[in-house]
Amino acid sequence: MSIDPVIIFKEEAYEHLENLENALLVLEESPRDAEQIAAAFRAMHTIKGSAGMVGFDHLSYFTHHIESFFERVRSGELMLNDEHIRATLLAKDHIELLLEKTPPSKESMAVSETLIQQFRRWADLPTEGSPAKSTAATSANTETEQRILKITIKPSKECFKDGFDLLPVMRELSALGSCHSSAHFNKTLTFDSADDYRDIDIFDCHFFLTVLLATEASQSSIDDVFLFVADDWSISTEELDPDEAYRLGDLLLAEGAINQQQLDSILQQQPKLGEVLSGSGAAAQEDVEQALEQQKFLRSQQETQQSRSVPSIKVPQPKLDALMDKVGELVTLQSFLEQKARELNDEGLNTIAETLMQLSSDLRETVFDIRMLPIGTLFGRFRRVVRDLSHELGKNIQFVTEGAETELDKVMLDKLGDPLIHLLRNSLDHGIEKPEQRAANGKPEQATITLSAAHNQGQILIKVKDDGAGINTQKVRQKAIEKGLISATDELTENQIHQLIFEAGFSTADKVSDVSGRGVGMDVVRTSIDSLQGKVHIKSDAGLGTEIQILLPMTLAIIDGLLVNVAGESFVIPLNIVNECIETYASEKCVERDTTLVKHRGALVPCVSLRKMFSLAGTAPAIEQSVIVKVGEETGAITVDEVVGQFQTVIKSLGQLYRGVSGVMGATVLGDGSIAMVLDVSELLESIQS
Amino acid sequence: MNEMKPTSLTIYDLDALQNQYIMESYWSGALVINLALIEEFDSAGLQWLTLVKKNQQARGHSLTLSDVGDDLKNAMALLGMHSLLGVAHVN
Repeated sequence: MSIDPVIIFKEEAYEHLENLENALLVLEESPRDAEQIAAAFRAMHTIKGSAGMVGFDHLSYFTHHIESFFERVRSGELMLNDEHIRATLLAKDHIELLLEKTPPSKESMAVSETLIQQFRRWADLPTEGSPAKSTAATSANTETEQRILKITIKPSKECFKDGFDLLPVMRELSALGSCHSSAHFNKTLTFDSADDYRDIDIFDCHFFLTVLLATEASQSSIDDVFLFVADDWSISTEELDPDEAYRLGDLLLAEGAINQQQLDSILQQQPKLGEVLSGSGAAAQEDVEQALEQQKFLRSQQETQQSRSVPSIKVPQPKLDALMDKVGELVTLQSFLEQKARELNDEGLNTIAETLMQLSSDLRETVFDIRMLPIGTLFGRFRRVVRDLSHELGKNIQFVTEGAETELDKVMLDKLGDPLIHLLRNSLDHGIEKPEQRAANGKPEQATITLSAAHNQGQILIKVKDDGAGINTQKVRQKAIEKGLISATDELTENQIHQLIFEAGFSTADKVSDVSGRGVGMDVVRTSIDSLQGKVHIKSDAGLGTEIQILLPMTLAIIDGLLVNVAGESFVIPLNIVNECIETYASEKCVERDTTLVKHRGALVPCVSLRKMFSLAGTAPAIEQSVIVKVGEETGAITVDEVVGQFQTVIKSLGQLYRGVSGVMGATVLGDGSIAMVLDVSELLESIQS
Repeated sequence: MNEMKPTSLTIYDLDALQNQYIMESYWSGALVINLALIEEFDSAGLQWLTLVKKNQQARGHSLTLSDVGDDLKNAMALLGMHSLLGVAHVN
């Protein structure tokens, strides 16, 4: 399958634009962040170069000017401000239009020119024609490799008295990359008596700094930081080898905290070095702690560099889907073979079946891993939405994201974007109050929306939480009565009323806005989450805020399951929610308020009998098996005739006819060619509660 | 437990802070310095905090810094003093 280079270019350009947007949103808060400035520059630089190669000449011309502007920001000649960031965000949106239509319309080119003039003015570039620097020169100047430097800064003893402060210098230095500082106080300072302390001249500088700086900045940029102090302070720079394993002893030796003899003598004792060095008094506890922090910083930088340098290739998604399907077929075939080997009782065949099972299991894990993407790739998009909408609505909102590294199947990730955007818009529009209203209610004017993702008992838990006004229960109830969703006499708990907002066509917005409030959306959110085999719950406290929880399976395609039998029928329970299996005697069951309960570890657990649930024929054996499951906070039991064992389950969707069947999420083909239903356990547990 | 609640931590405040520490807190054992009201600070001020911490430790007493704002935490980290002062640094 050969792919059109224009398609590849566009895909990559969108990725660069996403990086640009993320960088800009960080720069809005920290305009001197060198890493983000470099990321913005790189995005423009790459799009410019590739656009020219695939014939998007106008796009190349347009991005060239923004690249030139960021080149000046990068070199420290320009300081980013809010106006620059706003314009660059507009430029990013404009590039998206240019990507979709080439050659661009006259109107589009006019927009380009307006933006270009603005960037030229800021960058103080020649008004027409050639750029200030040639592309080749720019590339040579900017494609610097990241280095890790160790900079030792020894201020003069009198520096404070002379009016010098280390903080502005350190702020400037830290803007050049990621940095970690350690302060080392003079060993001559003693605190043995009150006189010792009184004798310390607190106006003298008593420490020096070692700074580990991971940076792409040139040596001259670093030298510039120390321009005004270089004559009086001692500054030395050493480049560290990023591949070297920095051992604690070496770091302490380099700091002068210990000498080689002490280190050698202690190394001979085969120790946990840090403890022995501080315990023996050879190095002070604080020196060891600082060296450990340096070691941690160096390792994190090494990991970052390694992850940057891992080569990757782009693969079209249909190829991955096809691979996944093939793995699914392999897993099914492997279970056929396993079944056959059991029937024939052939030892050799059994061994082959086992080996194949291990292989297909490993292959499945690998393919899954390829399809998994961090959810943070979605979070970046949302940051811009929240920023733009909060400006539009005149609300002051801090957007916090947590767990961006949590991985989810790419297919699910794609389907999750729209419902999450709707939840965020809803929170911004309806949940968060105007700043003045918040102040009047004694809340901070700045509201917080938190979007978090985390693993939760083999599933993914996503939360959208705000500290806004919460859901007005009375209003929701009233609206539900008006729309005929409930009757005026229905008695509902507060939680049940909250769930009504997921009903089709429900909206409490007094007026229709562009943001939300058209009565479509929350029901679509639930439908989308349902289609991902997920669950959505809402918790709200009036005046305090709302939290929407989405619980999703990690993947939809193949799962590890527990195969069980009831009345000769097979069922699969997802293994990730199974806690244990216990034997249950009929005499141990009891019924309370129509709910059957079984004893489990001294407590009574509600239980679902699959025989009853699916109206299966025959009588239950005297000793049944109860599979104890836990979904979220809910624990329950599923009673079956027999537990067969673990089974790699390729989930196939059910046809139209079975789609509405409660308690079933799909079906799978077993080794003998028969079909087993895959249970939707959370729906089964809900059926007990209702 | 003694508490100090300075409003500024610059070289211009060191005399007053040092006097207050020596007169009121030096002999009292555990000390809390509440930094909630700090509006200005510089390297000399942060060095003084670290010296007090070292002095308290040498005498077997604690120094607890409370209500440390993010700006101050960042500055402590920039000067590599956050671990010496027992303050977790932001980011």
